[in-house]
Amino acid sequence: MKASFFCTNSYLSAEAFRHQAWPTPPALFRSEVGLRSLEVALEQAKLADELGFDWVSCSEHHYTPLLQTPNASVFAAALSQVVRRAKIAVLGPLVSMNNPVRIAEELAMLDQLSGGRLVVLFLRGTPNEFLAYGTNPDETRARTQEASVLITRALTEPQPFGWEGRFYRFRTVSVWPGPIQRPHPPLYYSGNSLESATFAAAQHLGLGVSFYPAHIVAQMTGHYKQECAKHGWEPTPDQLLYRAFIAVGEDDKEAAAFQAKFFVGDPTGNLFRGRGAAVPPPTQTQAGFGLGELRFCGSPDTVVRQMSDFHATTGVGVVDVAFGGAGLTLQESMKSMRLFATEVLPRIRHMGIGSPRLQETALVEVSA
Amino acid sequence: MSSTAQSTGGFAPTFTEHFVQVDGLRIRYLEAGQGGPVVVLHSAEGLTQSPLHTLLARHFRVIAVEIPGFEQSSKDAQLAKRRAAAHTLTRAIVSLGLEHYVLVSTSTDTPLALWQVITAPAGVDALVLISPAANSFTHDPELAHRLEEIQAPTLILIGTNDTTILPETGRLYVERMPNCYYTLVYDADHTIAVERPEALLAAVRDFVERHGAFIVERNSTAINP
Repeated sequence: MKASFFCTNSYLSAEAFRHQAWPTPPALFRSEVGLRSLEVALEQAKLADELGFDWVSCSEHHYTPLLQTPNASVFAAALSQVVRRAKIAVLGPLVSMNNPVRIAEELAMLDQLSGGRLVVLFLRGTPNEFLAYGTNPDETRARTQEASVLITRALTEPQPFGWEGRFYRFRTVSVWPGPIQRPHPPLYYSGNSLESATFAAAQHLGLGVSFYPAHIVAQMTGHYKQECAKHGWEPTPDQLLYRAFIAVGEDDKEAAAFQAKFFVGDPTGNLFRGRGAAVPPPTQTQAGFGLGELRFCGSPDTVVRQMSDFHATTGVGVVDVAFGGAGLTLQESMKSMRLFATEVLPRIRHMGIGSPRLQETALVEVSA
Repeated sequence: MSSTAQSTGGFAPTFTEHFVQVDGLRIRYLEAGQGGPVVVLHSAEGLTQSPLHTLLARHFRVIAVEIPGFEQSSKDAQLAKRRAAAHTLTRAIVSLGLEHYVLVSTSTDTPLALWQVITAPAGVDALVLISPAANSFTHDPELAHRLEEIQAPTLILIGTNDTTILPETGRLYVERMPNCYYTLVYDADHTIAVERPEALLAAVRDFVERHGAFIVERNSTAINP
């Protein structure tokens, strides 16, 4: 199993978090805190690289101090210069809300900046965030699917081409520079529903699931594998990705203390509301979404056992873990991170099989 | 009501059957619609009104021409007969009084369309290749060599779900033809006119009207002008 450090670039002041509704007013942003937060985030990323995390990741989110990465590509570019070994994982751009060709261009640049270490997960976005750019929530699933196909073609078509889609029309697409990894960096699709898992399988994309408990993740990964087989291919464990919150304490008691204050307020409360307006949840959303749950929590031994059980149940080969709930101090989240890297990660590596497919994709083809 | 008719606002043109005598052959064609002439090729017997014909007839004068006679031959004989068929097609078009027209082909009709433009370029204002067969020119070295002569602006449409066309097909055309625009139609298989009629019609209409300038956005994006 591989581990990815989810670098959240959280704002390091409780003041902004006292405003619990979404969006958080920009008036609560203090420049000196913002600068310090970014410094810390990049230090954490560098440490994660040194501690042996396989990936360092970031994700696009809007109008919140919890994840100050509205443009994941900009943040990933900074990560690429302080993380020298681990892969740079953009998990991911919100492709339903952005210009797909622009995303393709940014991803190609990131693959260059990282020397061919980029990994990408195409995300749809949370319902409240659809308000950020005025995206019709009812159209986001279809937009996500179309954008994912367009981005993939934009990264791989060797001649200028046009695109006549349902939501996007481009008469000239000719991405330059191209990616370093050929035909493209490893690509994943957000599979928090069976329909999304079906789409990922048909498009030969890896699958990313987030926050659901193991038995639901197992449904997604099982369905995904069946669909992959229908299309004549079999995913490797590295192509099954899971994102979760985690807290590792020296012992279970300390971890429980972390758990008690990990989240501030209800993390799910803002998912379907923005400025008083209700945003309907996506259709076909699987019940039981565990955004406010600490999936892995305990002493190192306990977390090893939890992850072993999770892998056995779901087949997931990469875990993307976030250590910093808004309620933990920086010291507490860093302690948890170090304990995971030194006491847990070495004991879970043997789970799953390394991906020859990812290794092949990562071969750099450089012309003279 | 068919999905094509629904997408075209319920307009279902009535095609009429006609014949013209050329080179000792009785060439059959179907015609409907008003506007600029669009010749749609059908290089086998059994031409019937198709969703593509219906779509195009909403905005153009569509002449769907049946050029029979060589699909049952050996491959070498086919290559020679296809070039001869292009000459027959030219004479048929002349006899119809068409001085300028847009030429449209689909799938396996592509080689005939390419030879038509190569041998009689003067009358072809634009060329539209819909789901062009992957081996349209790879099996015909002379055709492959002469593609660079085609100056007519050419639009190639390929569906992203089309599993009968090699993924590199669009690139192969762009690399060989000097005035070629390759467009992917999202979520369409080989039968783009059935799967994504609105998308096909939007691209073809704009291309026929503006040729290469169709890459320039002309629709207003102002929300509250």
